Amino acid sequence: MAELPKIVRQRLRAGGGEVHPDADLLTAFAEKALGERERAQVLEHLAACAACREVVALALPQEEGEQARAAPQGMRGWVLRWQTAAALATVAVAAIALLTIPDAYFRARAPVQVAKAPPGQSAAAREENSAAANQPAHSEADAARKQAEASTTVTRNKKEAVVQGAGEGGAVSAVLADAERGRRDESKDKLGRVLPAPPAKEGQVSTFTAEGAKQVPPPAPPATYDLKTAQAAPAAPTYQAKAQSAGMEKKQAVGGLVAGAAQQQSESGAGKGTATAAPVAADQAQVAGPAQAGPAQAPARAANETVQVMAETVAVAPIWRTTAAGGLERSHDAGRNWHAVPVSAGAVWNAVSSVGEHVWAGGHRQRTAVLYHSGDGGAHWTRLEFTGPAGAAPAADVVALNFTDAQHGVMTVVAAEDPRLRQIWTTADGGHTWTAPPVH
Amino acid sequence: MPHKPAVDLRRLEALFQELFRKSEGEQYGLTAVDFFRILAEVGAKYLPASAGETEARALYESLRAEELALARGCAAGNERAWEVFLTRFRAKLYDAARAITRDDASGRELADSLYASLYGTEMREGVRVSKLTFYMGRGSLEGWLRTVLAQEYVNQYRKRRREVSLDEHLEQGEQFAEPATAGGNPGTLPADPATGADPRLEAAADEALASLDAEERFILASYYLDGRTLAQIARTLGVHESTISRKLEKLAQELRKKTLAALERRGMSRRQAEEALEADVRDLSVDVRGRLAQEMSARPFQARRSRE
Repeated sequence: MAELPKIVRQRLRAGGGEVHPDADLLTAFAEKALGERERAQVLEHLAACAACREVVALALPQEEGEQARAAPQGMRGWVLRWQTAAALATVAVAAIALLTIPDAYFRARAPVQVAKAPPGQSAAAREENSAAANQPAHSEADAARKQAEASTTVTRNKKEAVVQGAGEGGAVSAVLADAERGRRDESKDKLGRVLPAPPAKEGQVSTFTAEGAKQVPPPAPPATYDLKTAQAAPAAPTYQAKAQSAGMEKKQAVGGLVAGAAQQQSESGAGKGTATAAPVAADQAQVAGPAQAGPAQAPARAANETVQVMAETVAVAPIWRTTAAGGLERSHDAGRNWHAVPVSAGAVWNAVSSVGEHVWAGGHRQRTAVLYHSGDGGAHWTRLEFTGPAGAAPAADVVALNFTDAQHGVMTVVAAEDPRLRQIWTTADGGHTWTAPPVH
Repeated sequence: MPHKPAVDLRRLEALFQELFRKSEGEQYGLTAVDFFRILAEVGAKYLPASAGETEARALYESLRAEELALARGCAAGNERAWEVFLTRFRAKLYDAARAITRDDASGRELADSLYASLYGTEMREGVRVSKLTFYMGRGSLEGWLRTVLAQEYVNQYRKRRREVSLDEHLEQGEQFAEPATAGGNPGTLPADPATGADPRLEAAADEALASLDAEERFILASYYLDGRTLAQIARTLGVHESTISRKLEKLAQELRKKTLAALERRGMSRRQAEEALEADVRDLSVDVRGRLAQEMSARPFQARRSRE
């Protein structure tokens, strides 16, 4: 860029001593919401006021690219490698499946692991039936059902596309394009999901539109759990964000991606569904690959497993976490998207534990420990007026919580008398009364 | 200073009703009258005295009615409003603060301090005043929160700079304001040994800058003074980066040409004018350092006093 004479810089710097525009005007300027007259006034001021220019620059929302750049290089490399591997595996599995599986295979074969359901019944129908049986009509349940339907639509579309493509001979390029789209979409999503929490990322979980500031409502808790998730959930009542990537069952992670895809589908129309399906297929291929029986049937089974798992794992047990800012968040798609859950105004949450539909959240409000419980997956909350062990000082903060079932749990509290003093309490009545564990 | 706009707001009643309906203010404890009062306040603040009905309509239609009602509901202590506010903005607020400070601890501190003022720790005439009272709905509430955070951060930074050590000030060479210079003879150079700046240079530069519009000066200042990137400037103005690049290139050449022409009009030959511009860039830094040393030895305590 051409150099500017120093004297011109000096004179450019002069001025800016007038009254500053208020935060509303600066915001509206940055959001291009001002009329010509006001915009000209604000620009006139900004041209001469370094402080206001600084404010406008600092207040610009972070871009996705900036967040990605803030992520550690090593982790980014891992994600990219994973995505490349996933895309390649998808293409390989899909191509082999296309060449070897007759159309009838898809039509005739019933899902193995959901065999209890009537043959031919779709995942959405199963979901609907069990939701109707287990839970009264509820808006969140409806949302979950819609998600399930959307995901099944994705699955069906994918299957049909694959079958149809095989007949037309253009399937490989279609799948390639699909995988490529999936890789591109996933790279954003993966960065958002796996990388260690650059702050602005959590803020992007809920969709905020500039126009109407309408928030997409958080996805509903699943009305039912299928066989797999029902097995997985009680074993690990509380999943923290970090634990997911390290130790969570693969299939549950797949389910999360599917649910995410379903959500995208339902939010943005039919065009995007297949894009996110590709990495799912690859992921599933990694899961199912080693367990295949015969070499001839392996690719076919892998492809079918993909379809099957997508249909089965739409409903995933919600997972919970507390944020660095003291908020409480829930994810219905294995940590892909997080949504803030309001519990009680003014409280700061440090710990959360869940067992099925039971959730406990602990923290503090104005130097007093608070513990809340929800028996319906976070829809309604009740404050537990708990009592500590006899003689124990009142707790100032709850810093850790772990319930092994609906009654038994362990809680770490900080004593009000000395914040450095931590005590471990246990409960056998769901958190109403607490005792100090016996010293051996 | 707020004033009463010329336009008769009663003619906008239907629009106000519609905005109130859109705002869903009732759920935050606002009545239609409360909301109309807020709208009137917005008009008094932003509509010029000469504004007609069309301008008033445009202003009100551009407002974020729902977020305005939410903010005012919070300011009034409505529980439902706070619940919604915390759900929607709490995490974003902390994220924005961390992005501004680029540091977790400072970000949290900054966000906490804003939170306190949003809740209303400040008392005026015995009444708790929430900072959300000042939100007028011109931009998004999320953007407004980021702007308020940024303002707070810049204020804190300025405050810290006032407390910064003398050595740091000296390193930056900022505490010595340029003395006013007297007019020099035509055709001669530096009148002031401190800056090496011929007063005609300043006048010529001012003339050249005055010929630019506000946006052009904003671009120049952002790039050359603040060190913003082309991408940052482009995002602020909502244009493509290459547009800014082209503009900057053109503006720098244009400024140089206009400054030279202005110097020539002030009695310099073309060569002298060119030398003046070139010499200025080199000599200023040398002279500032020289002036710095003189000032230090001559007035060691005065500088400290002025700092206090």
